[in-house]
Amino acid sequence: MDKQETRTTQTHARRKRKVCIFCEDNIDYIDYKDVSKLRKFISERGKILPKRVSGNCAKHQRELSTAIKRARQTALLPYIAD
Amino acid sequence: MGKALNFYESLFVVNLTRGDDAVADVVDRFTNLIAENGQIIDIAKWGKRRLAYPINDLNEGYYVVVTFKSQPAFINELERLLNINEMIMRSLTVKLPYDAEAKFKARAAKAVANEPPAEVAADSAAEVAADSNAEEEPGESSNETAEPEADAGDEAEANEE
Repeated sequence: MDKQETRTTQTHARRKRKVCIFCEDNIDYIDYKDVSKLRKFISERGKILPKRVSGNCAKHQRELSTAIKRARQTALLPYIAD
Repeated sequence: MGKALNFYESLFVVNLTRGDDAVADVVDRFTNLIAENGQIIDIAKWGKRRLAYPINDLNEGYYVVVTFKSQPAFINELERLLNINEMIMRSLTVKLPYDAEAKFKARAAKAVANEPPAEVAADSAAEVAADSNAEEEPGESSNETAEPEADAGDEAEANEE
């Protein structure tokens, strides 16, 4: 227990706080057709990255996830990739 | 009632197996349908594109994106017809939260502003190019920063496993 806690606090101290990329760019609409941009927010398996990994704010993470899901519906992005 | 016009964007994927003529016919039919019931702002034919996953054992489709302005009631009818048509493999119509007309006009104006100097004088073209680069740079730099973060994310995932 103790070991794990110290380890996590260390990594937290080292890692810089991520800022939401969409907030930085003042983007108000995330386009589901912009596949190259969306690809940065999915894992190798095609899963949506959690916001603790991508650093997005809650608002943009929500919009991003709908955009990715729309892209999946239209076969622009895979549901599962191996 | 019924007077409100909204901006919509309809994407549809057309089956390629029945030949180019059949594809062109279907695309024309739907663009005409939209033109009759609303105002078309932009038609983007992406053409043949690889699908992210096979649909009915097909790996390719013909993508068309139509941006238009219409009454909300028309969307039901459009989606109904898109779903009935056997040539349409996938379709998605979304309401746009922004003014698509203004956006496309601005883009067209920018394209016009950038083009003529490139042909007339090299100097002014360089200036315009520099200007447009300056405008686009924030987006590009953010893309660069985005990649390492995505990598970091993969690592984190690997660690968790």
